[in-house]
Amino acid sequence: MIKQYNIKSLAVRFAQIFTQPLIAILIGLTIGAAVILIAGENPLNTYIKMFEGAFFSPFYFMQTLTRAVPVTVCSIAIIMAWRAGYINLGVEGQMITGSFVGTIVSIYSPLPTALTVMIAVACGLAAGALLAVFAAFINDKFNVSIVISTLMMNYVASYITSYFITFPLRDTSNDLAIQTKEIPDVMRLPRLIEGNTLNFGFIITVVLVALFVFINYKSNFGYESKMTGLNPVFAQYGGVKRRKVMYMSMALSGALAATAGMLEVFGVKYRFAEAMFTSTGYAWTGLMSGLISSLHPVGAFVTSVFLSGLQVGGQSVQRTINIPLQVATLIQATITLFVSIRLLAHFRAHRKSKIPKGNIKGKGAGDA
Amino acid sequence: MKKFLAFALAITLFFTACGGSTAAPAADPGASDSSAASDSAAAPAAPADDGADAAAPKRIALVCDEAGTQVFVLMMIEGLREAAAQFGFEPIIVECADSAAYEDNIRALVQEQTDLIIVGGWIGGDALNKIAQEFPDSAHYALIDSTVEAENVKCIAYREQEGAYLIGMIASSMVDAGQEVFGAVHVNQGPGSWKWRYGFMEGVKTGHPGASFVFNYVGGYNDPVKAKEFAILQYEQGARFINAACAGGDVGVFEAALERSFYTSGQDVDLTNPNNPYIVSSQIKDTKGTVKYLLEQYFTTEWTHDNEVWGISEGTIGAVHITHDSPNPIHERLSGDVLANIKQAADDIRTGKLNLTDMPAEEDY
Repeated sequence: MIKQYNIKSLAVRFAQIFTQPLIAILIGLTIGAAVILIAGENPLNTYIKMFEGAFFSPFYFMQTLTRAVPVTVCSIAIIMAWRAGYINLGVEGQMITGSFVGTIVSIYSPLPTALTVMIAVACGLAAGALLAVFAAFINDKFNVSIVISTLMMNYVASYITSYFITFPLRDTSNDLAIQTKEIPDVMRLPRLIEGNTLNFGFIITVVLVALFVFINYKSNFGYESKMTGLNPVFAQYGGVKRRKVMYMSMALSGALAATAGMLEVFGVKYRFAEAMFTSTGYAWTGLMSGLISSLHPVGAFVTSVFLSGLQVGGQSVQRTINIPLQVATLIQATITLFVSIRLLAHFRAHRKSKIPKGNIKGKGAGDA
Repeated sequence: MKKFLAFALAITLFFTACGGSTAAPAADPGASDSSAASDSAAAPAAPADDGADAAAPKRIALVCDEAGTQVFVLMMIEGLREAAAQFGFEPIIVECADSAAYEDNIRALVQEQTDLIIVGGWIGGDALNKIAQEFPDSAHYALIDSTVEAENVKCIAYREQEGAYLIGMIASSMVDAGQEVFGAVHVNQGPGSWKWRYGFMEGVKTGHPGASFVFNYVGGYNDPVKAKEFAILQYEQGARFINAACAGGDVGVFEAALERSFYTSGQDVDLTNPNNPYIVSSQIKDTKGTVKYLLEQYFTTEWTHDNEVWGISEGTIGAVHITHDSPNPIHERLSGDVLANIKQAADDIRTGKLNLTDMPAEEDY
């Protein structure tokens, strides 16, 4: 591919990227407006409140970014495995396991703080990675579908940790809550601004996205995993070790998922609590933003912020206009639905472009 | 070129929309309040001018779980609405879709200058605890159904075991001697449900000392389908009285009771129903009364942070037909003597003769 940077080509490229999502958002907003009208509210006012309460005011925008941290990291965890052709639906379970192990080590470790932090993070990452690698292992040995095994292991992880925090590791200082003790003060990620939950985890997220871009587009491993994802047989023929790529991709994906969970624990919650990842559905929102952005990491970051903003904005609408939670959720879902149509349109466009041009260019499906 | 035009058009539309949104409100919370209030028919009218700050109604928020079919939450909402009509404040109801939403919402409510923030249920307790310590002077805080460390949070908890004890006694008298299996469907196996299970077991054992118990946990507050399956499962294991204690899932247990003909009891409010004779009682936990009590205290007396634990003697915990009357008929098996016996137990709890306050931990039971 010849690299030519001029203003016109850049503008066309931008138009290609942004036209569809913007039109999708507009259609989504229109349909959402009909729902709001049926609910007996003023759509314009509702939307103003919703977007103001998510993006156009510093306080709320920081809330949006806080929520976007685990979502973004989950989405790159999913992309990491998916680009290599392995659909890891167990990000939620890996997130739960990793953050649980990380939290427990940091609470109960007798070692000095600096050492504890390192060990806690290492154990957390290892736990998430191991869970993902286990799925790869049973796929390798017994041909169990990774989609199914990872999905099922979400429940295993969720219920096992639930047992531990309900009985042996529960914080008994609170009479009813099902949660662990708080992690020590010194281990918490510093907040970026006083009074808001946005913390250092956001910077880590940005760094992770950049690192991911580098690995995927500039490293051997990135190239090999992408080739495996596009055509495993061809990649193997070309000398790529399929098993190595599978284990590596799944391990990295699991470790990233664990990072997402640990960023939430160390940055926001300071403890591991019942249903903190299952009820929030960060992993699934992450999956959605990964798919909407056609598995592009930077696109996934932007989409994650957008989807998190819809959730935060929905809360704001509920607080200020008194519309019920269900209507707020419906508006979010409508917009999300229409934004996802972009995915379908992209596939169609891709198929069309393939027919006349053949495979002269050999452009990857993952390139958005 | 066509694509570029489409893009330009979309951008223009988008920024017109955004421009409108940033320009319209005066970008301070006070202004958005009045527009919000004028939109909502339920809220009392806000003063039109911004200057009348003193006359502005108080903003009081209830932060709770998704209501759905959970009477626990629905009753709190009803309590807030009724109190709003009585005291003339602006009620803000914030249902939280997930556990992280509690912290987001409570923080935002502090930012939006809410006067009193009431959190219902333990899930929001941790977030409230953190925020109350971070912003001690920005708002008043109250927590229902749990207690936290922060001293500026007024906590109201309950002694549910007392009501469960009465339900256990009712269960015991509904089942013939020889049928010694009793069931209950709960939300999760945490310390909250232990209070219910402990009271229930103690109550049943007054009449069936050799009783055995089957407990199942649906794992969520709004899951009637799973609750029904568990109830049927327990029935097949021989349970002829199954206590429904799974919040929104209770309706599933009631449905199973109607299909399989076993006795059951509801929770939180009077859920007895003339169309379902198998629901023989209901374990009362008066969250509506709690919210109204809190607001009455807030508006009529000095606001204190003294934590309170309520039981039968305070009238918020009890059982239908025993401590609380019901318009629905009493099952014939709960005849005069039996009823009098259970009422006597309620009196004993009220006077302290029967003490259920100090419970053993589940591990030691």
